[in-house]
Amino acid sequence: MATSFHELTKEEKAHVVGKMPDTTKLDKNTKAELEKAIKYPLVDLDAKIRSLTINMGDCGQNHYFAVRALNTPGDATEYGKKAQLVGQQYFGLNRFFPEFLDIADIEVWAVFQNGNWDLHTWNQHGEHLVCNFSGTGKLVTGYLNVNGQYLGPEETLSFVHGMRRRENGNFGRVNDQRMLQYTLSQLEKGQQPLERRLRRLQDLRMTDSTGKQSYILRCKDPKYAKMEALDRKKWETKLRLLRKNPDDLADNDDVGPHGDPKEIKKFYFDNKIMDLVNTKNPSYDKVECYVKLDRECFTRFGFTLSQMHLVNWPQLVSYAAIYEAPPAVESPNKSLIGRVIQALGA
Amino acid sequence: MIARIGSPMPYVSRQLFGGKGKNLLEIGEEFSVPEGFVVSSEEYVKFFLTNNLRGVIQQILRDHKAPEDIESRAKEAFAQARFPSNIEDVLFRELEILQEQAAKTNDPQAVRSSAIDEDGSINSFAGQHDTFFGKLTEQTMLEYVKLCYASAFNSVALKYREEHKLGIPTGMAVVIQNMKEFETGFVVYTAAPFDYENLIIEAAPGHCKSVVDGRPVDSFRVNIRDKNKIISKINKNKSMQWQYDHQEGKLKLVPTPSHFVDKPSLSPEQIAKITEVVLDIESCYALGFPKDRKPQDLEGGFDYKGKLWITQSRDITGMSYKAPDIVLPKLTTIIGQSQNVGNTGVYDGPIVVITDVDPNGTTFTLKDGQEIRSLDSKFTTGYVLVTPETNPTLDSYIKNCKAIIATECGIMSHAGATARERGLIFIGCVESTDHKQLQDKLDHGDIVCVGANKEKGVIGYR
Repeated sequence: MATSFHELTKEEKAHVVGKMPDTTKLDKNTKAELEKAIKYPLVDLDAKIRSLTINMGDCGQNHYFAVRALNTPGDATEYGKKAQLVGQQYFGLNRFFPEFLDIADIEVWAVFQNGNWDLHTWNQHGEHLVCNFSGTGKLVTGYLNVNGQYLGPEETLSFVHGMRRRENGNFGRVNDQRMLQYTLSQLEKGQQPLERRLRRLQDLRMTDSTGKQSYILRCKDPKYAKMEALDRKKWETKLRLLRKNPDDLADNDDVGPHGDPKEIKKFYFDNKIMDLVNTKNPSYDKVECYVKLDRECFTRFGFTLSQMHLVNWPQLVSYAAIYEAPPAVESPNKSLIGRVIQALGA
Repeated sequence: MIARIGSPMPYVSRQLFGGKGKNLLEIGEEFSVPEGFVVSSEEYVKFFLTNNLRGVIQQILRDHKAPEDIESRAKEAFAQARFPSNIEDVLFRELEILQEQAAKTNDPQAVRSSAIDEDGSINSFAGQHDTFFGKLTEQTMLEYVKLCYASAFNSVALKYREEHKLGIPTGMAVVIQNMKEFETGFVVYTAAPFDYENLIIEAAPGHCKSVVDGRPVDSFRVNIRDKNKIISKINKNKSMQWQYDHQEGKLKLVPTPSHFVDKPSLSPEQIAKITEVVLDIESCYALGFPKDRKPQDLEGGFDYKGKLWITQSRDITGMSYKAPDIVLPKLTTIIGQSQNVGNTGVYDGPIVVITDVDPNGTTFTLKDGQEIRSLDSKFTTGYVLVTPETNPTLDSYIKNCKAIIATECGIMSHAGATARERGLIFIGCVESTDHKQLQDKLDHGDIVCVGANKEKGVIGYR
């Protein structure tokens, strides 16, 4: 029986490792905080989800709803001896936690040293594949991907601080779920909800700028909660067809909460995504355009162009600070990478 | 990108929203922060690139060496530049929403700079970038945003950058908020210096500028385990306060209402409310709380309806909680003392006396007609600075200073922040032992001894 688990390809692993932040430049306190922050989903959130889902089915069947491993924890020799790369994903979180109302997925990638992580298979079908540990070890580096968005160390801390704030506060109550449900049903019936309620939905990234349901909202849909691992893998296998040629994705393929394949393909063709992601030396304008489309792609379809096409451009944006990029009039066609290299004096 | 304060923000980037903007967006999700929005540094970059300001600024930096000249030329350059029309449209729409909310309470707005490297745990840039107040129109908003951008090149900020080896400014976000009028403003450190057991509140009537810029303040030390255990020190000379003047459209020093002059500026209930909220805020930032603390420096106030607002939150900059035990020096004459202590240490040296600080500008009046710019060249090995209060420009004049004695303001003022970041001995709210003005008793060049440990600071003669 197939499971939701995909082992990383060589290219995917290189993409993941390439995004790891350099934590050696962080001060001691920040590094200690980052370690706690990265462990927050892997330990604290994980335990909460397991306790919530324990009664949803037999052992080995329940965690398709919210947790899965992203790789077999292991080999990260580029970070020294006894270093393991660990990847785990938490999805559809807004179904379980009011404080996660605007959060669909959290992906954790971390390198731990001297820990003991393994891929856990709890039943005879090899299902319930999650990363378990008998000791976490010490964090070497790591990052979170929240709603498809890469978070560097500082944003990771901001995210975990935010979760603590929401857990202790009244975030779930303020965003009364019934009110949201009512507003959505009004939209479905073609009625006009109050302006402030529509704004709230948009603030929660539950609708896109045109008022259509976003991936985050679709993730709250109970029908996806009942999907099994097999389906999750099937959706992703279909989506991976986009890597080579969007035409390979058939109009009637089922991609679950990712939406309608016809719309995905239209998005690709209208925005010439393949040309964009295959650009070798992107200009500043192209990177800016890419970042915008990357966000839109997640909001509408629940995956990012970075994840799908293993592009690391957004990391360059932070280098493209105004002093590092020469004025456009001097070299309008110079690539961003070239500008960065020039700025760094290389 | 424009982000509304109070909107759900699962994570926020300092690179995008600057230190102040990031912190306000974070706490605004759960706590009472005046409504507003943050214009991200992306807009600054677009503004910069569209107007080819990089070349202009580089030319200014090449042509001028004096920070004051760079500041004035940069302001001119930014003022002449124009926003791309799509950014203007978004800003106008957000202003309209903000003013709809402000209309109910007749609130003016504040336009506040938020540099991407300010309000961190190492560099505060306290008060060195600009803030503007007033009832905004579309045009004044654009003008103030440009001035905020230009304030990255303020002479005091450039000097601060140079000294802290921070390089040239690379980004600036701007916070635009409705400004609440406070009956009492306060600043809180969720852990007092050298003391995790107590938080400390300094409060004064009016806007919290009264506390930060060093007006006389009341001080409350609250035990975080037993919140009824409060040590209060009430200043009976709170004669003037900062308040927004609706006619002039700016903050102004006005007489304090008589019932506040010699009475506590906070009631026990208000102290309890502040304590509850600020500890809640700190607990979000302290991963592993209560074992690990992450003391926060918060500003806020109570409006005239008694509602608590938080207007700023950041890690406390440069605070040391592990000070060595220092034995205070034996002095033959103690001339002033206080429990309001920043950094500890003992120093013997000549004294420099500031008798008056211009509250609206950047000038300091020194005793005997001394010039503040000449202090560092005159006292090359160090000196003790005695001042009633400060403004942010002080920081750029006191490289050789070894100790600051503040007679009116406390550790939460700019003087306290400057001392902490520079590692200077600081004793605030110093009372003269015979109730005469300390400034009157001391003369320039007198050799005095300053000593401060965790409990107390003294100044006197050996």
